[in-house]
Amino acid sequence: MSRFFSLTRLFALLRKEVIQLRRDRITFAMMLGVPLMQLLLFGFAINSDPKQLPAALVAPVQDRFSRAIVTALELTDYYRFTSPGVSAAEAERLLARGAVSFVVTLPSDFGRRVLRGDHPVMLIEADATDPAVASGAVSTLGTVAAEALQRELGTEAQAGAARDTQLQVLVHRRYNPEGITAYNIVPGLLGVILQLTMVMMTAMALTREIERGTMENLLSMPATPLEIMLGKMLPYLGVSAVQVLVVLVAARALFHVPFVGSLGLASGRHPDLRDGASGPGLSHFDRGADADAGDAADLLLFPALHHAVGLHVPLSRHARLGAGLGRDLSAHAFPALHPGGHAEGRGLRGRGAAPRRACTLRDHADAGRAAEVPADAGLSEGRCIAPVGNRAGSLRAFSPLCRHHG
Amino acid sequence: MTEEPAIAVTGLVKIFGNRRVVDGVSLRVERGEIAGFLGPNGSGKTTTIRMMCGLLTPDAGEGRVLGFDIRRQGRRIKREVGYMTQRFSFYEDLTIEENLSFVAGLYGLTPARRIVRDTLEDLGLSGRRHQLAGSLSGGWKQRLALAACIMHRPRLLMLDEPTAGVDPLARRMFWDEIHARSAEGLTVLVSTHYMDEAERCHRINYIANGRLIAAGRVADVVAGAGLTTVVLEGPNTAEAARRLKGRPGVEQVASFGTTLHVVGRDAAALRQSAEAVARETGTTMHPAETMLEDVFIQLMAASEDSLR
Ligand SMILES: Nc1ncnc2c1ncn2[C@@H]1O[C@H](COP(=O)(O)OP(=O)(O)OP(=O)(O)O)[C@@H](O)[C@H]1O
Ligand SMILES: [Mg+2]
Repeated sequence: MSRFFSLTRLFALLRKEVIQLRRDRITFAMMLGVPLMQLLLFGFAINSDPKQLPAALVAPVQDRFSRAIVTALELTDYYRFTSPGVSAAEAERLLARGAVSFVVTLPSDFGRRVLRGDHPVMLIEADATDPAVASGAVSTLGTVAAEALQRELGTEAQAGAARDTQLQVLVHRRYNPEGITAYNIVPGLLGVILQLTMVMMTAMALTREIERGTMENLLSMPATPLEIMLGKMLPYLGVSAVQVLVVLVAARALFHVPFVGSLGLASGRHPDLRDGASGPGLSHFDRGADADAGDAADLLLFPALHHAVGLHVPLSRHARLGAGLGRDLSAHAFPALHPGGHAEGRGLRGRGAAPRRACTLRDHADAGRAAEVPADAGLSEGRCIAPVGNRAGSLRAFSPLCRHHG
Repeated sequence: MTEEPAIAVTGLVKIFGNRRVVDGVSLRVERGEIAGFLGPNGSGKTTTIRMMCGLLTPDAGEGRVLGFDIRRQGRRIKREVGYMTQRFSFYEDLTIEENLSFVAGLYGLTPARRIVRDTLEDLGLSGRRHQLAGSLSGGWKQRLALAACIMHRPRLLMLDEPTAGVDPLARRMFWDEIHARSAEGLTVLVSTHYMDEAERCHRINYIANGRLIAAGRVADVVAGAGLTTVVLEGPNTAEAARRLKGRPGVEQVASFGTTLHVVGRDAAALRQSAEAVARETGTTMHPAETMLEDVFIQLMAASEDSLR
């Protein structure tokens, strides 16, 4: 037996430690529960090639070509047209709210141009908040749509020479045009961090009370179990608020995740921020993204990733199986990141947003649809704002994008 | 209602696993009385106290504490009772004052600040109000615990071995405090292993193996045991002790310094045996008063016999 190191002593220590480990429920939870939960979560729930993404269709004129395209897109399994035939304004709202991941726009003269072989153009706006959502769905798009049109024309022409439809597909990656993953992942991790630390800290706080024997005393005084639980949990809301702040500051400083509004102001007071960390026992009941539209005024802060991001992984990326669990951990745990009411022009200010320019009433007229403009639409300002395509020339084709044309 | 006793429970039973840890205990404590609760380790004292203050639900039996039903009115009981746990159970990382403020908050005492200050003053804790409870010595911890459980002016105190590990002076002060409060009408149930403390109680209740086997005033309990005690004194008590063992009538032999206490139920046989041994070993024998401890040893041995 050495004076400095003895195996006997070490074994005595090890044995004691093992016995304690065996009897400690928290260790058990960490040993079995945490890895299993994480495995299930990351294994089943996360999907980097999400399918069946909700999409909206903006097609003022519904004809067989639009139907062909919708069918073809749905057959790719990437798109699920949850809102077919909505107005452009409505589609914009859906996209902003995160209700749809794509808006497919077929201009009113689409069919005519297809028939004439006159450079038909369609627009796909993808919510690129999560770059993965956009990539898979968008990559196959061009060929699929073109083939669909060709088939449609082919049957029409009865084996006549298949004309090249010359379909041009414009893709707008909204909100995160550069496809920066960090914009999505970093705020998402916030949810994970809060989940893990909050659950553990609160659980530990409770066990400590029992281990130190103070629980008996506590229970012998007129404190109810509910009060004791709340008393344990609420302080950790404050702790989680600090964590949120740390993560947000780090997100800004290290990953340059863009923010709109004042970080300092928002972190302290937005109720939804604190909601995100409600600790164990209170599951995050689905607050519904819609509710947030109402607090638009309250939203001083929302990372430009806007949308359903919220969390480590956006909702759409959870497979069905994980949806319940995923929801809990993701978008709805952190509704503050939902943009709420961002009208066009708000939100991505400056940060690589789709180019915009003012479109004037003349544009509306050019588009040949002036008659449809509501009498008061945009007239007070004499203009309305609409994003335009990457090419100036395509403006006309996209007049439906101007919300006053919807 | 003023006539109702502070504690009146009957037939309390608590079963842990398949052991009847408390087995049909009935207790009665009058208002303003200091009742001792005695019994060997593991006899079920703490468990009984927990049932009476609403922390544990009895598996059988019922009763009233301060007029409240122990099964259904646990909340009311907690409000009116001060329970001092056997193990120190205040927050070691809080100061004395913070601990008391916390307790004042739980009981909703107002004005909390003044009540805490008065309590600190009362129990001589003012000087240490800012000391962390964890760094207090045993005696001070006990005083803090007492302060915390009388601060809300309970009508009944349940103290579970409040003086374990406390020095004689502190114990004396503690009991003076208890007697002063009792004179003001406070009822106290106190468990202890110290005989001198048992003798300070108005009445004692002795429990062994979960059963109440003796209850009453100290003198009555001693008398009720029907024991006779003689003392042998002299230079050769060790030899006398050895010879006494197994003699007729001798049930307990205990050395106290140079004296030997010999106890037994059969007075005549005991005296005869003791006289014989005294003669053989050259010690002197004289009769003595039976002490409470002798009674307890007797009761303990008897309850162990009944187990076999
Ligand atoms: N929670 C429990 N689960 C199982 N057994 C228990 C539990 N609490 C107490 N016991 C058992 O019940 C018996 C009585 O315990 P209790 O603490 O009431 O004794 P006590 O009279 O207070 O003893 P002491 O004088 O040593 O404090 C003991 O044998 C103990 O092991
Ligand atoms: Mg005990």
